[in-house]
Amino acid sequence: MWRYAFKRILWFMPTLFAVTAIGFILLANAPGDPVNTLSNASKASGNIEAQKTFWRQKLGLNLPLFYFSVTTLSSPDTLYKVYDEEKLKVYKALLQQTGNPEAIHHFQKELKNFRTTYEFEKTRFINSNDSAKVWKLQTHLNGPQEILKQIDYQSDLGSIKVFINTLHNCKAKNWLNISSALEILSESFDALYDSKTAYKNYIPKIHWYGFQNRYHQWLFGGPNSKGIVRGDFGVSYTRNEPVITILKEKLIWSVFFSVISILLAYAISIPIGIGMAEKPNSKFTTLTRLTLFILYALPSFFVGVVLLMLFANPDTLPIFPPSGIKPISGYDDDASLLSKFIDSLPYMILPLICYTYSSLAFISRLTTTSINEQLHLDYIKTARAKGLRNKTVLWKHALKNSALPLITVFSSIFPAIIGGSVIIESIFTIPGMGLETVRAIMSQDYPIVIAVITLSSVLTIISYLMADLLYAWVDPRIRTG
Amino acid sequence: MTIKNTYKSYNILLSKNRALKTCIYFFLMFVLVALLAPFLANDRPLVCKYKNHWLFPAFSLKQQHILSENETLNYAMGNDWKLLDAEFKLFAPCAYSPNTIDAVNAPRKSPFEQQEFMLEGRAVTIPLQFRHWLGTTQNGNDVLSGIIHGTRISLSVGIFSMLIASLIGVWLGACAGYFENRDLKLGYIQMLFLIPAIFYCYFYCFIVKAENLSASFQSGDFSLWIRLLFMACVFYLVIKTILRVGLYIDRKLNTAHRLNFPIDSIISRIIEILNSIPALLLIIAISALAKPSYNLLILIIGFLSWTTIARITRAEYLKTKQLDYVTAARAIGMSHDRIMRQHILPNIFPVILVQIIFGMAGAVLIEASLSFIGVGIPSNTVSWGSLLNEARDHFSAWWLVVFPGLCVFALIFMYNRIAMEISNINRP
Repeated sequence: MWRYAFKRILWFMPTLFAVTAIGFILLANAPGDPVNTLSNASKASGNIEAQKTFWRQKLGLNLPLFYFSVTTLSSPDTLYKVYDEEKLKVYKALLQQTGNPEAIHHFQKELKNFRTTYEFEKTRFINSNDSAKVWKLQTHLNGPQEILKQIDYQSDLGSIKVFINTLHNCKAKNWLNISSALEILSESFDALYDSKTAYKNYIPKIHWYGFQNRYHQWLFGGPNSKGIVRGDFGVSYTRNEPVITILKEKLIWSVFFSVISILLAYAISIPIGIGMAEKPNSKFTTLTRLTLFILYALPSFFVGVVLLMLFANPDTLPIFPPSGIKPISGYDDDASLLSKFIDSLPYMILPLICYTYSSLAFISRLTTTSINEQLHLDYIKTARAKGLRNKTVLWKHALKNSALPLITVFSSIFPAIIGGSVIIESIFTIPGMGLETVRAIMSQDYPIVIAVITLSSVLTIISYLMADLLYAWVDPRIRTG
Repeated sequence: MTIKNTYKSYNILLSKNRALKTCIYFFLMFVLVALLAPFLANDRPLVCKYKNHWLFPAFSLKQQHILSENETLNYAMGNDWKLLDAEFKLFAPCAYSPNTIDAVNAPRKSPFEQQEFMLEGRAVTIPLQFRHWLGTTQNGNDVLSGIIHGTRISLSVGIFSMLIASLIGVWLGACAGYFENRDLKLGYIQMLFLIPAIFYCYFYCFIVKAENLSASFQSGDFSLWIRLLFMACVFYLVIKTILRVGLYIDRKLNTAHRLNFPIDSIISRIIEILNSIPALLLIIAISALAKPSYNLLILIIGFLSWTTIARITRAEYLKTKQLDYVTAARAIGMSHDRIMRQHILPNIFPVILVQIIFGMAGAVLIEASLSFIGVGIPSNTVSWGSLLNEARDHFSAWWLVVFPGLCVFALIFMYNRIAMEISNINRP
């Protein structure tokens, strides 16, 4: 048994790895720059750029994304260090057209040089001439400045060429000593324009970055975080506190509701299933089957809203409180767990109905079919021949042997309930993971979303593992064969 | 058994099963409502005679009509069509578009309440033709019109996402079940070529064309499908060609040993990974990252829900491949491909169909749930879930709960019933 368990746990490791990778990919592709949000939110005085650098290092954004990267042969390995999205876009577009990073670097360096020369010359001209002349020539003098601005965010080579030609023709050259710098600039541009290395865009290149990368630090921790293996999911973008402290109490409510509702579903539907197997053609069976089938097709949000409309509405029957999970005034300070539970009970009934009803049909149908399969086996006949009561035969003999599918079904209900909690929690405003997810998505707080996905996937995997182990424990054929 | 025979026997069974027949008629009704939605609920009249011009505004995509040189008729005038002084007007059965704002009946008018109509600046009782039969929403949008147009969304999300899911699921499940881990044999050269070929396809589609891919994801319009089709074609053609070339070289080299390609393990592992992420959460997260659009939603649901179909298909192929007729087909030298497609698939398709129809119900439920919590769907479209959402803060507006809710229920119930009946036919 232990060997089997160990084998299963090892077998689940790659799945766990893949699930975290999916979560990370989503996080890395989230739109917007978290650095901006965080440096705005912290409201600390001081240099904005320094703030940004601080957060960038804290979030590990100055590191490569993954252990390795698959890129085109033309793109440099240090592309992840460019933070300005607009610049990155221009750079990538130029790379796409030329496939020559060196020439682009050279061109951009010369562009910078030209700008410095031009600024320097302009200042000198303004200082050495009287203001009336400067005023008269102002439009001509500022001409190159406008063009340079255009070139900065121009991603098409042809357009850049047009702009450089305009630079050549501009009248500022008559007064400013920029011709030689311009010559160098256009030479470097020509080198870029003539480079025929676009084929490099179609050749793959794999670059190994090593363990200093964002995924590794996110997973196993680094200088600024402990990593998700130790329960550190990073910092919430909007609330500026660790995700795990936000989620801790929410997780308890979600797990509490899902476990209670699964237990409740089993407790209700196994007797129903056995009853249906007992008298397959009775009126009770037909009626129950139809009811369960209707319940199965009812969407949970519809049921939730209808329940609230009927039983938590001052106009109809105000039996239950409409939202929340505990009395508004809170629990008494010295309340025991039991009295807390009793205080919260009216708040839990409607959500629990919502959580439970849809899995009833599934489980009871499964119970019926798997008991029916047992009923014409020999040992049942023996039990009947011994003179045991029908009830004893069904409950003690048949149920035990048909427990296997009921166990496996547990692992398929669990993810459905975790996913469904998003809907039910936001209807009944239960402060669980689902409600937190919706809130986080509305406010673009991606670390929380990803943490919820990763956590619930891990919970699901654990439930699969538990089902597997239970299965092996109940049926020895599985672990030996 | 050929395809024709299978469907013939199904027709016979269908004619005897009244419940299935009724459900299929219901389904066809939904389809009809979805197809004819713009002519069932539209604020433009279907036919209109204005200043001696016969116009068909509901059928027109134009925003205005030029009556004469200096006179145009604005088609996008919403509720004002009802006041237009035309010689003849024939409105659709429900004379409102889902986004038409009827300000007079604005904050949530019940179906039984006194509804009003602005005529020459005075509020009068609404004519029977323009009554809001199922009430109005917060902004004064007609609920019936929203339901009619919502049918389109619900049906298309269900059908198209399952089309994707069944394409992927049946194909992968069939490969996993038919070949298992031992029957898909590749030559050394084939295997040697295959891995770089897959890598290069990935490189070309996802890295060289990364900008185009993300652009079509962000736009969320039809270009998304063209991009996907393009990517699928690249993968298919490159892998097919490489395998052919590899086979040719393998035969020339005359290598005796062939390697097993562990396709079953790979596919089972992928299914396991996808199954362990709660689908609804993942869909919510992905749709929160990109600009919300129905194309994207269909795509995501399709790509996440193929696993159940693949599992069923795999199990059926495992069972069926041991039957005599498959062995016979193999013995007379038919290719694996042909046996999988023409011999096994028609026989097990009804079983897969059950799963596909259950999946449609699931997709409808996911779409309605998402629009209920208001995540991942375009905010300006009215669907069943978004109507229900409006009732959350106003329980007195029962018509916003009951009618859309019953529609979702009816559609899901019908899908489930069809699936149940077909599975009963499968297991007599």
